[in-house]
Amino acid sequence: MAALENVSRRAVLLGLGAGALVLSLGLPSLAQEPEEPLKFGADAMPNGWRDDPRIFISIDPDGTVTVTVHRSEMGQGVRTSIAMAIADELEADWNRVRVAQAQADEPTFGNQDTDGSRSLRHFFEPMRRAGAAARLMLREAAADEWSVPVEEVVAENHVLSHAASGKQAGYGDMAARAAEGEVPARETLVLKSPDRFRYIGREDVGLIDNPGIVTGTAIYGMDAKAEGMLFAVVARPPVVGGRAVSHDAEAAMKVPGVQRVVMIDPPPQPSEFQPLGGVAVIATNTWAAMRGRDALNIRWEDGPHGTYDSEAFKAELEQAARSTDGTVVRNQGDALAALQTAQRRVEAEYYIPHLAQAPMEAPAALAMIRDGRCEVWACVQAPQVTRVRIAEKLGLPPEAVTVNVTLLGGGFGRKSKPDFAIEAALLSREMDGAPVKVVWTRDDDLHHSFYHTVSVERLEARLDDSGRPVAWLHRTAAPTIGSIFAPDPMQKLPFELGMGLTNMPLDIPNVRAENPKAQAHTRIGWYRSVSNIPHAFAIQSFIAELAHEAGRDHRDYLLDVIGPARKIDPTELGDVWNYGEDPARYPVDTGRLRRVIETVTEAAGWGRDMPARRALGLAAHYSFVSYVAVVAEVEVDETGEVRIPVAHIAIDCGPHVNPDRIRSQMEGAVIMGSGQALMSQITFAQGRAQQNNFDSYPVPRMDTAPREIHVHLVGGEDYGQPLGGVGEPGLPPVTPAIINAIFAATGQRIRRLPVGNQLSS
Amino acid sequence: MIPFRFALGAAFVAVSTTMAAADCAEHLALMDEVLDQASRESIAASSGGQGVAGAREARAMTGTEAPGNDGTATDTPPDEPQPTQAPGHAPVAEAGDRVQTLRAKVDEARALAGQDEAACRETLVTGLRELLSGEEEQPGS
Repeated sequence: MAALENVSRRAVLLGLGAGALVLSLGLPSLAQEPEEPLKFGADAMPNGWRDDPRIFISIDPDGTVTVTVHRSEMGQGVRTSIAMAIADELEADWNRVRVAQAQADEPTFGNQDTDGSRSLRHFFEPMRRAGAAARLMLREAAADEWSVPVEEVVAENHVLSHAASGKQAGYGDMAARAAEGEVPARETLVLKSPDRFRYIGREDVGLIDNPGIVTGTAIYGMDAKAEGMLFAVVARPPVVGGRAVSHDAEAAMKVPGVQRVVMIDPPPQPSEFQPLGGVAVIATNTWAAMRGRDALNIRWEDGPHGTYDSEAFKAELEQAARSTDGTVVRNQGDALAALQTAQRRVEAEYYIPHLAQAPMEAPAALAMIRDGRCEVWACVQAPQVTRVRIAEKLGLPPEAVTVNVTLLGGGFGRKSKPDFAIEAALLSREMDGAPVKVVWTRDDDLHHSFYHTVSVERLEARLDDSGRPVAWLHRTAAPTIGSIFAPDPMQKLPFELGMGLTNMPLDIPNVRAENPKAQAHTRIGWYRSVSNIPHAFAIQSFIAELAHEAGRDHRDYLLDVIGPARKIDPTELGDVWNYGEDPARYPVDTGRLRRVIETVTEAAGWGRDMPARRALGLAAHYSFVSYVAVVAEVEVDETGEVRIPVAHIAIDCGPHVNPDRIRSQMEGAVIMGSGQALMSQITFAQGRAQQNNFDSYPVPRMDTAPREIHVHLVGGEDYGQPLGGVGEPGLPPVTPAIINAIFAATGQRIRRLPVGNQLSS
Repeated sequence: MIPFRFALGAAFVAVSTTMAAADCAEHLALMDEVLDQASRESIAASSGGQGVAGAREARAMTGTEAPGNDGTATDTPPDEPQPTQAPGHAPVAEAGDRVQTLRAKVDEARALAGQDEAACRETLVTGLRELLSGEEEQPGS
């Protein structure tokens, strides 16, 4: 180390030493800063997390426990799961537990962005602590009331008791007294051991919102009502960045029921979550508003994206993916040199189109303004962002905006963007604060989404004599989500690349990943599992292609390429996101990946004889710090029609807090993934999305959905393990498993999604 | 803890001024430590959610700030990460893309170590120089 004696490694890290050279960089003042431990995951979130029981739990005199849930419910069951965690530690009787939805208020509740598959990952332990603290407060209140030591008071299933005196009380009897007590310090709390869990980990708890959903009393965004409410629809520019240059307001006003026609200015670009602008029609009912909109006869100016065409853009992306001037984002060994000398070289390009989240409930929001305050009801995944952006638009402080979060009829990332709620607030202001509900039709939703990106993924590999890959090159060309936040960054952001590209854990000595430039021509947003979709599709398809080239069984080959069980520090792979989690606590664990593959292939009967044109396909993927593998059984008839009689999916997401909901999320992922594989895509021509409704943007229905879905929960026994995500990680491996099965059944390799009619020719 | 740009500068000084005297392997080890720390800091700055990560990284890459009500920049949107980390942490965290790029460059140099020491060191110096010149172009840096 003699050569580095003037600048020790440590000194470089801390900015110490290095004499005059470093002094010239101005380091000494920074060196005065104390080094603090880094925070990850829940600890590092905006506004952090909270575990104060007074925020999340209230107990009525009749003993009814109300849990306030600050995460948005969109079918994933988070209101149930969070209530389970609290009720378990509280020792509450589940039949006496209710949930209430928190309004937007991150300073009070902690982070409320329901994205990233992290509600339980981040809040399971805080919510348990809140429940445990409340239980202790109840016991202390009883001990005080009965003048007995708190250690002798037991709280069990909604009853407080003291064995020696025979005294008993319900939670409701002690609630008021408990509320006056001090909240116990976090470090003094003793959480229940898993063998004493009443609800956590149980399959039969059910969905707390089910009664409301099945009886029609549950309130979604589209259900919100207020006295004197008006209804609005908006004619938005069909091309992002466009604007209305003329319209016929008079014609719209002639429609009975139409009250007002309002121009909404297009936002400056990049537009983040702002409304697209356009012309709004406000009426006494939705039908009148829609008919008024039809009469507007708008002339649009399309702006710079008016030539956006999906076929032409595909060619652009292919050209980019074949170029060598992309940014190198991972470079292990020397893949380029190894590829140049390859005897057995395989290459393939995969195309993944735009997708729309298309939640069953289209965006809808109600807003009213009164006495300097705005109140909103909306089906939003990001309540605080909604609150802040509306406050900015109206010139109010955030505290003057109340956002009531309804149930969401699906979200998939679309409802993280509050443009529709902002529209409602703006239109209410135009109507002197009257309540205005903005309704999006299905056409509106498909035409004006924040679409999943479109990408071309190019892979090249060199195989050794045994058929194993020794060099791997992956180029990903796709517009970035960053384009809605900043002036077109042109390249994927690190968090997008960290979704299965840079952190790809295959055991290959030479790996190179490149990211060429690609410009966005529409709004790109996150869609359930985000960039894992193209990365997993390409990588898992390519591995199957390599296995075929090598003449080996796909399952054995996949396990071989993953390599032995090992824990990999994601930072060493070049991942600088890791889903926000501590790399030490959340390494990439290939042993867990292998285990889900082994589980799912065994369950599916991998290797068994199949009838003609019927076969199994396999794929596996690590995302949102969980491990998932899928085997799809596919049959393809002579006309090219694809059926999926059976699908198996295995997940290892750490502890299984709510197994019923994990199963449900995996089932949903299989169905959604089959749509991506077989039928769904958004295309553009002249800058306009071409799909109008579910006739042209098909999604799986009962006759096309996989007929049997078997979910296999792997691991989960150890509550000392960190939790993984559940909402998103099921999706990425589904599509490649289906595509691999189609190849096995027909010999036809699909590299362009969706399959559509590619098998019928 | 120091901003990534200063760590880069110090690393550049260390590598470029000791080029002839040290094995490239030692330089690589030095760079690995810088990158490990910077990677962890970038991860720590993330919420784990795609919304905040997207906004933070896009603005960091392009040197822009969040749009305000009328399209003008605002300093700290309330939905952005609050300063839960140590002072001086944010600039490091914003450098995720640069950390990623430098990691790839360091790994490129690693492939040369033991075969062509001079090329290995030159690759490191080039990578650092490119990133540092990019840093200078970043508004406000």
